Amino acid sequence: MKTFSVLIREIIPFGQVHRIDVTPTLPTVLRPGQYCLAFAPGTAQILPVSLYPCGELPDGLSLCGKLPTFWQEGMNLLLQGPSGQGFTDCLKARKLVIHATVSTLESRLYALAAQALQRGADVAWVTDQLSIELPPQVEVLKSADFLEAVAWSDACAVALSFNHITDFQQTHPFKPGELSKVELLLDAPLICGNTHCGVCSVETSKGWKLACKDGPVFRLEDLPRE
Amino acid sequence: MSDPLPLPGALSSWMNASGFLGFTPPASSILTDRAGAFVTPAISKTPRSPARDRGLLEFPGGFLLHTGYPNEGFTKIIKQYAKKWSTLKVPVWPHLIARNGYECSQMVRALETLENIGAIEVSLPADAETSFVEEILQAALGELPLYISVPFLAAWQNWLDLFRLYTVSGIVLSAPRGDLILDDTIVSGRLYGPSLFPQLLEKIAAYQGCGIPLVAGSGIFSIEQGTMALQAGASAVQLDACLWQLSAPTSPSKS
Repeated sequence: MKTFSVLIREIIPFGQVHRIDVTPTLPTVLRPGQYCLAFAPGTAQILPVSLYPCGELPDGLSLCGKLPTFWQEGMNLLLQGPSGQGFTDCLKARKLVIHATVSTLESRLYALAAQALQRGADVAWVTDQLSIELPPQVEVLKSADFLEAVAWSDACAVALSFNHITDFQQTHPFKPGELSKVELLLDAPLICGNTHCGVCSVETSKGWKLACKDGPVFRLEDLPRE
Repeated sequence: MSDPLPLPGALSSWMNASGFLGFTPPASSILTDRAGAFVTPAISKTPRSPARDRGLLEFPGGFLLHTGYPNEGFTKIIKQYAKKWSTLKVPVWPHLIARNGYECSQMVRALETLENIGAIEVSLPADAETSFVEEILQAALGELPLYISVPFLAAWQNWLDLFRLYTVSGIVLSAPRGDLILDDTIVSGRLYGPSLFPQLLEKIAAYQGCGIPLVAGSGIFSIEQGTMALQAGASAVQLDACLWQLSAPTSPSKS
């Protein structure tokens, strides 16, 4: 996979993580749910970090993620991507529900909400404590309203840790017809650049898959219930 | 100072560590033009699922990785990759994990019939009983050079006599094991990172005269460090997690 050199223009706190604006942009569009790997050569960084799209700039790209503390504005970065399979149905929905099970993952869903609003969709964000600032058009709902919101929606995007899928399935009893609406953006270690290290393995109804290559977005209906 | 002569089954003193380049080498890496062998990820006789508690935990100077060595099993892997391996420019070192001598023997005998297999690399757990070590060595001994991969901080020196008896071609000093705590739970796994380099060099210096070539396979994060390991007495170098670091662009960025 190709690697590109970019310059860090700005680093801004974004909820529990940071937003990083880089220039220039990648030749291929980074879709919500996809990621790119980022690495600062010649520094103490040991492993690449995964960054998610936050928005597009006139001459660059806005990404979000947990950044190494020594990254600075003006620093050169290497980016590799876009990687993985992003959201599909959620990109076309007219009524979209968004939810992150932990606040550190909220930023990864921001671009999805922003693009949905741009195409005139209605967006509901389910959270009990929001850590990022959302556009005013987004309706914020409490977690107690989540299942009702899913029933209203065309599609639902949820960000959660790949270790907590079972917990999520047990605490969210979706009606059978609604499972197909839900796409999960799984938080997993995405480190090896598709060399099959196996740490990001996800069990699906079609066998073990890799979040780095086959995800990190998976359909909830494709994940077995324990 | 030039690199030492390549070990049996290799074309140079440089290669990847098991598990860091997938089952076929990439088009380019920092080992391109330098690699003398290609080491596969761990292969077991029967399929292995990912560990239930798999994960990655970072610490200053490195990270702990626990995967459970998932793989689709020997038969399926050979069916999928043997033809590709036969066309590689460097010899292939399949890295095997076996529960007993029978499994080891079955895999080794099959590999002896394939083209471009330069050597066999078999891993031993740190807590292996001496009887198990001997069972594996007996099973693996055959037509191909045999390398034994051990966590380099384990007491593998207790097995040196057995390694000599079974004419092991080299000892791969690979990732040690350690524990970290996450959410009040102890997580065990393999350790990687540049913080291990000084301890690796100490081991090489202490055992370079043991009569069996040592392969420096942990803690090396640059070509310069690999060269240091060779100067310290290692006969070959395996690069691990530094192969996951992104390297210089392969094409101009879009303006």
